[in-house]
Amino acid sequence: METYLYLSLIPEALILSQLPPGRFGKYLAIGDKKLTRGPAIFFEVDPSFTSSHFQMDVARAKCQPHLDGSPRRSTYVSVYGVLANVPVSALGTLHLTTKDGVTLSIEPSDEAPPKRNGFHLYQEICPVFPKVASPLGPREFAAFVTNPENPVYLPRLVFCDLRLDGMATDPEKSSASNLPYSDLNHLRECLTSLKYKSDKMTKIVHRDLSKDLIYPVVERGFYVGDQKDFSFYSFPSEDDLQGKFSRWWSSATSVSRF
Amino acid sequence: MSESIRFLVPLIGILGLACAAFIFSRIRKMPAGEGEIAEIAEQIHNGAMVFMKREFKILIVFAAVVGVILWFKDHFESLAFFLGAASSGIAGFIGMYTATKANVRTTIAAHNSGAREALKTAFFGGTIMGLTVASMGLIGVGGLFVFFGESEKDIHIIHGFAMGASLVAIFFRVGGGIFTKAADVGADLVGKLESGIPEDDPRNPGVIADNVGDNVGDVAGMGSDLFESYCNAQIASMAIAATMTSPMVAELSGSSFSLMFLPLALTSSGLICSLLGMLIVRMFADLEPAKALRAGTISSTVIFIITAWLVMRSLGVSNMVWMCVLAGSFGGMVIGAATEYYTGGQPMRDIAKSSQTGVATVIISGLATGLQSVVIPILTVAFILIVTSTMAGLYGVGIAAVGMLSTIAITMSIDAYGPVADNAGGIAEMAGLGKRTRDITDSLDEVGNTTAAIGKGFAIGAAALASLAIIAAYVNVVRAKHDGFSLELSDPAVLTGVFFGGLLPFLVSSITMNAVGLAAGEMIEEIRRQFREIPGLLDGLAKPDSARCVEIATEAAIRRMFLPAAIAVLSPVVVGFTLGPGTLGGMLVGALLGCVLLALLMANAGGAWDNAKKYIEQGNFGGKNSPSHRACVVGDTVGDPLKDTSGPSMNILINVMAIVALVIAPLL
Repeated sequence: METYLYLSLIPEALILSQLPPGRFGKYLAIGDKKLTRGPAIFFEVDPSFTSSHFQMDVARAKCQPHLDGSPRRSTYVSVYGVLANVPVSALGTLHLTTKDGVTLSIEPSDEAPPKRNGFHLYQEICPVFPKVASPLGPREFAAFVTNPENPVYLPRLVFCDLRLDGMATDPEKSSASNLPYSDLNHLRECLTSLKYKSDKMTKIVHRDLSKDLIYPVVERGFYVGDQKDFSFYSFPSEDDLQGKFSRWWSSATSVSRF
Repeated sequence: MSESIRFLVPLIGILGLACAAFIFSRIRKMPAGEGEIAEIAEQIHNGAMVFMKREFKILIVFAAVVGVILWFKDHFESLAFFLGAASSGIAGFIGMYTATKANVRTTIAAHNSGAREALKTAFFGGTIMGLTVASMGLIGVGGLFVFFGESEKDIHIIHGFAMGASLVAIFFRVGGGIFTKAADVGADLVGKLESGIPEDDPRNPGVIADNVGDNVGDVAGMGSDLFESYCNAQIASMAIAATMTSPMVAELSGSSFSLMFLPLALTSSGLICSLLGMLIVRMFADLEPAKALRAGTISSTVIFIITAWLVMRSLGVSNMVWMCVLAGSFGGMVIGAATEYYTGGQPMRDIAKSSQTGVATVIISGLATGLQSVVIPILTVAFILIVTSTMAGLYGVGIAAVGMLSTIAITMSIDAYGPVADNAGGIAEMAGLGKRTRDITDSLDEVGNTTAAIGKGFAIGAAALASLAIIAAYVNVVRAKHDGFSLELSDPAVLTGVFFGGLLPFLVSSITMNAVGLAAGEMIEEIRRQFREIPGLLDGLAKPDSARCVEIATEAAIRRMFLPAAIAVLSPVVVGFTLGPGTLGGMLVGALLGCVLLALLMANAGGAWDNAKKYIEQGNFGGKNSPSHRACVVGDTVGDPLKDTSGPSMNILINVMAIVALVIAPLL
């Protein structure tokens, strides 16, 4: 039975599992007792990955099928400081699972993220998860927040960029009426403060992660980066989301009545 | 004019049925898809047929009991009752059968040929129901008039037909209303209870029942509702004409026959005008769907008003009566426009705006909109009442109702178009036909939602006028037995009846609303059982037993509609025989006002909440997934049973109470 190694971002954990990505995503999102737990985001990690920070051999020995032959759903290798100790080069496919347990898999892109002018809104996902506004592009942002010369910095960061529409270039006057954020006025103030403080590179908009509102507002994709490496996972185009991945998109954007 | 003209009415009805058959043969020849699409469509069609069969099984028993009781009153009236029930049942069956054949063809037309062909397919799919409702009404009422229209003494036999139509309407409208929301709520709750199954996932055994429910509510339910009002309005007008005094007859026309025949002449010409309206929709199919449908409705109404004048000239009926037709048609348009304004205009946008401050403000503003929305329709009904009774007495009220309902064929067609377009979108979604196809079906569905809301407003207005006419006929029939009988507000018995009548709509609304939750619970249990007992269902390796879900929801709905149905049928009988005709008359008045007010409030508040949610989904106030959207989703959920279950039940409640009162009136 094949064993997979996954780096879960919500919550941060390194997990061995005998479930393939689709079933593992469903397991993370809804469990095996039909209790909804929310969306899951996880990387597939090179199965041969080893690190002195983790007891990989011990975990691999534990990750065996159950006595009835059913696959082992999860063997936790580590639950803290995981991303900091898994290099970007070891990270493979990124899997995005909705609260219904439907998974979309996206591969690292060979191309750089498409450039655009104006401000950016980033949702940091791991190891910290505030929503941050910044004038920096994704690669520069990753480099900035992992820069050891800053008084506060991260070893590595996974994040995605969120739609800003007209507010990206005109935070004061753009109507932004179709942006689904709960406090648009606050967001407008944050972006405006960045506009008039050219030395300020980041501004926290919210301190928490709104799990239900990541997928519907992703702009270009997901990123993982540090001082050395950077990887971009391009989000499917709107046409593909409505067509090829319509089942996932429908699940990702559905609002339950109950 | 020769009295043999009455033979023409059922013949025009047969012509209408022939047109419906021709349209169906054209639609059936259109491509119906293959593989998964055909399979989904077949499941919806079979589900609809399961619902109809279940309804008919219980309906036959119920009809037999009522028919036997009527047999002891009058053999022919009992036979007319069976004929009325059969006519309404057949119309509902044909409508459901054809709508669930047209849905997949609309999907394929959208996918292969684009918006124009899809609109034509969806619309003409709905016309079969529209033509069948009008035609069955003409064949039934017109046929009975051929045999019993000669003598004023025999005209009461036709009342049995209206009662039969009303009985079916209770089953289809109240039972269907509970079914449609139980299926909708049940299917959606599965996503919550059985995680991993999104709401519209084909593995969900409730999804097919949900799609069947759309047809049950807006095809069979609305069809039986309008059929009942259509027949009641004609029959009440005939009853008033039959009991009219000679000076009044002389003032309005040369003969009593002309006045009794006039409702049938108007509805016959209304059917022909509707056919012309349908051709106009076909001609304008290149326009936006809303414009094409509006062109058809307005033009058929205008042609009808002109035709009505010519008909009255040829029958020698006074122009005063034509003014009543004009008032009825005008009133229908005003009520439709008011409904459109409150559910799709500024008040709806205000509800959407209020969502920025949360759920509570959405609920408050939606209720406020619903409360305010009763003003224009009620003033319109009052206006019609004043104008028509001034022009032609109580007969004018009946003729106004007939005028409003004469073009029922096209009104019903546009209403039945809604679920066909809705289902077409559902099939495209489930079969994964891509964004382009869904964009087309969505645009058709969007119009369908508005037409459904307008249709509900129209049905309420029509039911109100038809019931007013029946109450007037009831007073005349009782007066024939008790000389000098009238409904005096100074009479405590009448006032007591007004209070009794006023409470019934609230009681029935409460029962039907709770019934949705209970019926949904039974369906959820069935869905959970299937997930538990069908191996591989959750993994998509096995197929759900969707038909069983439809059966369970149908049985649950029918079981829970007995109490409201019993209240509607028995309350006039109990009150009439124990407290007398005065209290019963008062009860009808109280129930009429309560039913109309509640029906308008519930239909318009529900419609406005629904459209406010859709307005936000178009990108306003944060768009889909925003906090505003979530607030409006709650509003829509609250409004759903109001507009689709309890609200529509009000039309049936008052019509059934009124027709039962009219039937028992000679015995009081």
